[in-house]
Amino acid sequence: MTHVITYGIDALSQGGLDGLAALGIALIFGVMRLINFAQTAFITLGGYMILLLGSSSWPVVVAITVIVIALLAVATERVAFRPIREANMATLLVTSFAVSSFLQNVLIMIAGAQTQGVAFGASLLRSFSIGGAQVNKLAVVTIGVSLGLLGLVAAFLRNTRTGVELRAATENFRMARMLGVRANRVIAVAFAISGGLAAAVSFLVTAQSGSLTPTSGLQPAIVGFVATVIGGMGSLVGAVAGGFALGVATVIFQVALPSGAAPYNQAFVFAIVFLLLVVRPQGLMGAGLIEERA
Amino acid sequence: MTSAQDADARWLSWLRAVWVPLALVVILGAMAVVSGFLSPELQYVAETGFVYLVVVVGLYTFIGLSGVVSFGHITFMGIGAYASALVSIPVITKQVLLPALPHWLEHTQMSLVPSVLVGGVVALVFALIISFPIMRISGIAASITLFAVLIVGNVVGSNWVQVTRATQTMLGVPTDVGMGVAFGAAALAVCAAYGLEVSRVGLRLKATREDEFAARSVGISVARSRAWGFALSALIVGMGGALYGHLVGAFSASDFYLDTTFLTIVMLVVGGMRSLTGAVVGTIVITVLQQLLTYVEGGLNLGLFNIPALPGLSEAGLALVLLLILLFRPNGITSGLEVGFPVRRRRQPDTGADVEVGEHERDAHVVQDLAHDPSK
Repeated sequence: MTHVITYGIDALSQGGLDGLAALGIALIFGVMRLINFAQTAFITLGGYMILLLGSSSWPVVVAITVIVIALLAVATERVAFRPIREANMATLLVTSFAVSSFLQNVLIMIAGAQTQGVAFGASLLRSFSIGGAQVNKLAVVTIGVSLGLLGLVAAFLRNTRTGVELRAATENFRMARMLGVRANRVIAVAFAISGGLAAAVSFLVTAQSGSLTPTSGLQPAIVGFVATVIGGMGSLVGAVAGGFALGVATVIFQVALPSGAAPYNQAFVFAIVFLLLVVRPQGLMGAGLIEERA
Repeated sequence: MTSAQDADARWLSWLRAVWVPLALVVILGAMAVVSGFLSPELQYVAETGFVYLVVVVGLYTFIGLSGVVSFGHITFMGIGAYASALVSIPVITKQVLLPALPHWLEHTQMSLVPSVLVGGVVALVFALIISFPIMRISGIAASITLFAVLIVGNVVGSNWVQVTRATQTMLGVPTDVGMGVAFGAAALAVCAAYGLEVSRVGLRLKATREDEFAARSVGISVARSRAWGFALSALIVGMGGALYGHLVGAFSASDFYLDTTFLTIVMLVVGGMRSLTGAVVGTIVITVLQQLLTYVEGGLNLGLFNIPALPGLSEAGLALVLLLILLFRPNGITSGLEVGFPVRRRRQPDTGADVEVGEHERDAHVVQDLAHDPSK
C-alpha cells in the first residue's frame, strides 16, 4: 500500500510535468499549425538562466527566467515564424527545427557542451512520509505547480477576452480573423504563454536532475510533441491528457520493467504510442483530419 | 519531315527522358575528378559528401515526393550501418568485439556489395514494419511520430550491448569505400531515385503531395503510396548508412542521431526538397560550407586576427543558412526545379504550345540560377 502511494505520487508528478510540456506545444500548434521544435531550446535556455542567476533568491530566478524565456519565444515568432506564417506545415516544421538547432548551438558556443551542475531547489530533494509511505517533496511540488499552471491557463482561456480569441483561433483561424481577432496579437500571446510554460518545465526538470546540458530540453519537449499526436492534434485538452498519460506510463514502466530492461523504458512507452496509433490514427480526442490552415 | 530530322527528334526525346539523372551524374563526375587533385583530407571530405548524397537522395524519395517531413530516416541509416557492419567485420574481430552474437551471424563474412545490400534490406524490412501505423496518420503527426522513432532507435542503439556494443564504438568495419565506390553509389542512387520518381509509385506519391484530397478522389490510396515511398527510401538510406560504415570504419549510435538528422535535412531543404537536382545541389553546397565552417570552428590564425576555437559554430552556421534560405528562398536554391534541358522543344502546331513555353521559361530560370552561383 505504501508503495502504491509513493509510485502514485511519482506518476502524478511525471504526468503533470509532461502535461505542462504538452500544453506549451499544443497552444502554438493550435493557432499556427506549427510543431514548435524551438520549445526544446526554450526549455534548455530556461535551465541555463537558472545557472546564470545562480546566487539570487528563487522568486527572483523564477520571475526573471519566465520573463526572459517568454520574450525570447515572442521574439522568435517575430523574426523566424511570422514571415513564413502562410507557408505549408512542412516548411514551418523545418524552420522550427532550424531555430532550435541555432539556439542550441549558440548556447554551446557561449556556455560549452559539458554537463554543468545546478543546485536549484535542492531543499526539495528530501522526502517525507505520508501514512508510512516515503514521498518525494519535489514530486508534490511538481504536482502543485502543474495543476496550478494548468488551472491558470484554463482560466485565462475561458474567462478573458484574449483567451477566448485564442481558442477561437485554434478552432478556425480564418473565421476568427474575419470576426475581428487580430492574428499577430493572438499568436504573440500563444508564444508568450508557451515560453512561460517552457520556463516552468525547465524549473521542474532542472530541480529534478540537478544538472544541465545543451540538450536537457529535448526529453520534455519530445514528450510534449508525442503527447499532441496521441491527444489528437489541435485539441488542447487532448494534448494535456496525452502528456499526462505518457508521464504515468513512463512511471509504470519504471516500476514494472525488470532492471535489465530499464534503459529501454522510453522505447516501451513509444511502442505503446505506436500501438495506440494503429487503433486510433486520429488520436485520443482528434476530430479527424487536420487540414492545413488556409 | 525527313528521316534524318526524325532520327534527330527521336534522339532528342530520348535524351530529354534521361536528361535529369544524366546531367546530375555528369556534375557529380566532374566533382569527383576535381577532388582528385585535392589533398587527401579534402578527398575524404568529397567521399563523405558522396555517401551523404546517397542518404539525402534517399530522404528525397520520401520527403520530396510525399511532402511529409521525416525526422526518423537517420534511424534507417544507423540500421543499415550496423547491419552491414555485422555481416562484414572479419570473423576473428567479431569474436572479440561481439562475443554474444548468434553463431551463424558470428561466422558470416561478406564483401562490400552484398553487405551494403544487406544493410539496405534490413532497413527496408524495418520500415515496412513501422510504416503501417505511421502512414495512416496525418503528415504532420507522422513527422513527430518518426521523430519518436529516431529517439527509440537511439535508445536501442546505445544500450544493446550484444549487437551494437552500446555506447562503445563499433570497430573493424573494412574501410573499402574509396572515391570510385562513393561516386558510383551516389550516381546509382540518383538514377534509382529518378526512376522511382517517374514510376507509377512516384507519380502517385507526388499527386498526394500536391493535393491529398484530389489524389484520393481519383482512387489513389494516400497511406499505401506513402508506405511504398517510405520503404523504398528506407532501402536507399539504409544502403547509404552501410556505405557510411564502410567509409569511416568505426562509428557509434550517436552518429545516427540529431546532428546527422539535422545535417541531411539542411542539405535537402537548402537545395530545394521538391527536386532531385535540389538534393544534389544542396548536398554539394552544404558539404563545402560545412568544411569551411569546420575550419573556422577549430580556430583560425589569419595573421592579424586570431579566431579562437568555437565549438558549436559549424552547426549554428548551418542552422542560420537554413533559416535564411527558408525565409528568403523557401523552395531552396533550385526552387524545386530540375536541371534544365538545353535544347528547346520543337513547337507543335496544335496542342499544348502555351504549356511548353511555360516549361521553357522555368528551365531557363533554373539554368540562369545555376549560372549565377559558381559553387553549384
